[in-house]
Amino acid sequence: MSSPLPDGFADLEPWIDWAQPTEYLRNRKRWSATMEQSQTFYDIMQQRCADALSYLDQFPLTALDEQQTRLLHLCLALAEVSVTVEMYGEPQPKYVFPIDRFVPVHDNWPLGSAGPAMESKR
Amino acid sequence: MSATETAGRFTARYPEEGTDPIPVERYTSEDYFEREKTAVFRRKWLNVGHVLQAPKPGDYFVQQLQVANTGVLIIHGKDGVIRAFHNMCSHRAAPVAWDDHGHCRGFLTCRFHGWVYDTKGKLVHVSDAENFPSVDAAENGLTPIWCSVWNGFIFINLAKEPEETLEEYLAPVAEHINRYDFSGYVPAFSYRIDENVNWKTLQEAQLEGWHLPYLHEKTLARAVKVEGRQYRHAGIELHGLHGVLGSPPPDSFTPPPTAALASRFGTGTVQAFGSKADQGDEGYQFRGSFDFWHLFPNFFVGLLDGLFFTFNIWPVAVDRSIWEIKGYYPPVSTAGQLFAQEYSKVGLRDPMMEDCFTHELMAAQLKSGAKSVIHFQDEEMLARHLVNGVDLCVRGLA
Repeated sequence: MSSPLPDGFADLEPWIDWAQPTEYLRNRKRWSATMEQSQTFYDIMQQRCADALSYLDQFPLTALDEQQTRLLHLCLALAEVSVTVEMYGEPQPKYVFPIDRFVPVHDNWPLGSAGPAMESKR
Repeated sequence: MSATETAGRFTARYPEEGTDPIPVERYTSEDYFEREKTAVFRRKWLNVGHVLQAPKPGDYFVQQLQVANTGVLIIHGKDGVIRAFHNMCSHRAAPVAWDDHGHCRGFLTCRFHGWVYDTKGKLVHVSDAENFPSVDAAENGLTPIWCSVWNGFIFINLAKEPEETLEEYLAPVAEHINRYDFSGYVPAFSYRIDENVNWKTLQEAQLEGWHLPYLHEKTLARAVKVEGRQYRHAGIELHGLHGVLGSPPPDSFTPPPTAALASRFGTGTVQAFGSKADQGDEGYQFRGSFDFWHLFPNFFVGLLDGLFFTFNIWPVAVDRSIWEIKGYYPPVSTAGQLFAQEYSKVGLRDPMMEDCFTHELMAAQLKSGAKSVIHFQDEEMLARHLVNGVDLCVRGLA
């Protein structure tokens, strides 16, 4: 089986389950993680996210392959988990609306697009 | 200045807004809500979206307006003109567009029996026409709705004849907002929240920043200046029924590690919140680190240095509303830019999730009858201005 991540980023494989393709799923992952898991993932991504983005920035966003896309999703998961670590200090803050009711409509938009696909019909 | 020295400044500037408590009935009464529908939503210009939601001829989207028992079809005509219609076939009232957005090659066909309309709303084909001898196609086009575009924002008016043009309606704010350069931004995010709350309660949390150090203690509080624990707006201005809040930048702002990382790769929240942007004498004059415009009755435009976002709040029932949140950023072409945008978006989203949670708690209790009034202070002037504006409409005075 080939590596799930691009060459040079094998050290991030233990955290591959954080690589979720939509904001909805990334938020669910953030809320389901323990504080310890969140902190560990946050710490490793603080070390590696800049390298990952510098690597990915060599390619157009819309031309990333499967492995590169997974690496991108790990970076986006840092944006999500940063709220746990930098703001709330807990993975399941009280007094917050759930993502199930705060619907990210843009999760259906194509990556790197400007809005939804206006597919031709009729 | 201390919080004490700045107390009462807006009440002094706008004495006509008064200082009385606000009757709870305005948030809970079915009767009052019915009057709002007629006196506000069927008379005033309403934003239904942005031209970027239908950028090319043939593109369309549908905005459901439960407050007026209709769906509005907004379509970019083959002639380049944006028009609005009731999304309803003249045959037996089925929708002509069944998806919430899409593209047509110049014609929309009703799925029910195949009547066809062009992008100007004209009925161009009646299926089985010989069996409709009394139907005159020229008189059975889609029912038009007044529609006008300002700075890319699409507004409709549900009145038979609007009392004023969109230009006249927005005249009190246009000279200010028109200075903002809206070019070069594209849709970056869109959220939709269906809440059990009155539409004014929902808006009022966005019409004052004073709650930031309290409700958003862990999320937004660090990005604004507080004196003691009191938030003082950089400015509040009322312009006709509309108004603006300026958010005070903090004296110093140390971005957390992820914010610093995001700002290395793209447009983030650091530059937006950390300082008051200078766009030059000709450019937009920021009141604060970001300015939040309220366009009566239910539209917000938040202007920041490098991005803008909008809220549309749609009443469904007296105790239910839809909150639509849309963000516009420079186009993203790299992973780093997308990461910066994601961080910025998440940082705006989570405080709004806190707002939503609070809305429903308040709305549920307002119905109890335990309180007959609520109170607004000086820093909540724009929230007071909204309920005053609505009440003026309901009483036939605005």
